[in-house]
Amino acid sequence: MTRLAYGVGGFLVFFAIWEVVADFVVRNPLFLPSFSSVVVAAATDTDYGALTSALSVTLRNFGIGMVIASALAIPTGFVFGWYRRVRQVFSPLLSALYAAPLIAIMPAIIVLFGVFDVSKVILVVLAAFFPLAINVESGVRNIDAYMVEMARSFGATDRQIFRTIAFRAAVPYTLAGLRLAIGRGLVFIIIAEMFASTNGIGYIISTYADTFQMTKMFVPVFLVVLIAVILIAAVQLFEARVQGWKPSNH
Amino acid sequence: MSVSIDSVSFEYGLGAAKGGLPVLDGVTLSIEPGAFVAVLGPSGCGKTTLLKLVDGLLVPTKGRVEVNGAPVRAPSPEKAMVFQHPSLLPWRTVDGNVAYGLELTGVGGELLKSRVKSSVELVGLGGFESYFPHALSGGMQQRVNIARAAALDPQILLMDEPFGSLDAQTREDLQMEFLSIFRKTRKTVVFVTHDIAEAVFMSDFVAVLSQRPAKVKELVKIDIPRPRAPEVRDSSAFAGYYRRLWSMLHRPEEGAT
Ligand SMILES: Nc1ncnc2c1ncn2[C@@H]1O[C@H](COP(=O)(O)OP(=O)(O)O)[C@@H](O)[C@H]1O
Ligand SMILES: [Mg+2]
Repeated sequence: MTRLAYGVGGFLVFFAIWEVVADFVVRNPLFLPSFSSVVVAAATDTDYGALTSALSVTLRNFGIGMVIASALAIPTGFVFGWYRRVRQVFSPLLSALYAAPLIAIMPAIIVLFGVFDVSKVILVVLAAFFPLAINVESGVRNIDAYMVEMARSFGATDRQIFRTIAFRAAVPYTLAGLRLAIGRGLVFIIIAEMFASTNGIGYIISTYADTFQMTKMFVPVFLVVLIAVILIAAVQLFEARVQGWKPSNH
Repeated sequence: MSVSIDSVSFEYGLGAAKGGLPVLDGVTLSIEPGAFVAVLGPSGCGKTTLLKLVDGLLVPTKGRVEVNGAPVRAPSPEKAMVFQHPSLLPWRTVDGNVAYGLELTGVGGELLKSRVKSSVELVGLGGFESYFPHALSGGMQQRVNIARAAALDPQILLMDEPFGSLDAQTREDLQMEFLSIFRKTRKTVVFVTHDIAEAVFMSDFVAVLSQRPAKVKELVKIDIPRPRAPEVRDSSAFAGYYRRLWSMLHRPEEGAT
């Protein structure tokens, strides 16, 4: 509970700074509306029906993309982590692709797959795949050599070592990768919707932005942030459950 | 079970460019069933390597390692290793860790449960079954390490400086306990240490290794009757063995003509 209080405290500090900067430094709501005006807009001047239906489109595409990305990235990470040869050949490529600016190929994907859902799903998959695969890989690769030797001395086969050590040791890495992937995937789907779409939260953001309704624009932005926070917190909650053995350093 | 180490040499391969690192150079040591043999030697001389060769984790470059007359090719359940590093699985409880070796060798069900229970009690960890390793002291972790090996009820226990990282008090307590527990079962024990007092207190024989590449410099029989009480450490016989082993370890290498 105290952790939650500290977390909320952080947000409050941020909102306060925002309010001060907007009112006294920027002083132009076209560039930066004050936090309080966004709150007012959220309370009085928002079409939540439209927002909800846009959100459901965004979340559906995001969800499908995340599921596909996980289904591809987690096994890939395990294979890369477990087989040194595979890693030696493909790991540099994986890192390079992770660093590659996905934005640059977004137009190509949209040309190929249209402004429809498929493009969004593909972008989410691309965005989420790399951080997830790379994290799983390092989890498997960094298993403790002492543990492996101990297992071998008890006659463990490779399969047993994989199942009882590598698989388990990769859990925290996988979840850390998932948190990164969630953040990255959300950012990318919003960007894709902003530039080439006719629905979704990103589309709503861009219509407000195009018509300079900055205050209203921040409401869907907040919604996206809120969703990211909730999803990441859910991963952390799950982690706390499966990693309950860990010395607590919170 | 008897262990016979016959002119065993071992080199670590360091890659094509660097060649090999010779660690053991013709080690010969014959261990009777039920004997407690300490292997004493300077740090880095190859004690751990020797133990891994007996366990079957490593294979000699030259020479033979035999258990009951059969060459050792791989780890097997009649030998169990207690590592210097406790090497516990942090996500398993005490019970889960003690069960680990048994699970790997295919023991399950009621047998697994009863073996784990008796092994945990044997090392005095009753009441801590559901603790995770991070919540245990170094001494308790080492007890789990020992219980995990003991659970297999091996004929041969290979112990690599199991008490090396513990404070003096805990170390002496565990030495006593270990003797009182395991002398009864008459297991063959190969016990690596660089602590002379520990070697004298616990063993029937002390094999002194030279610097790397190691040979057995000398095999010293420790003629102190068992059971050995802590007061044995104050006896003149103990002091005599201690001095003798000390000077062997510190004597300049001979035969390095
Ligand atoms: N896996 C390894 N590869 C290469 N060299 C090793 C390896 N393990 C140990 N060595 C080297 O072999 C020598 C003996 O090591 P070890 O058997 O651990 O000694 P001790 O247990 O007596 O301290 C040391 O010089 C050590 O650096
Ligand atoms: Mg060692």
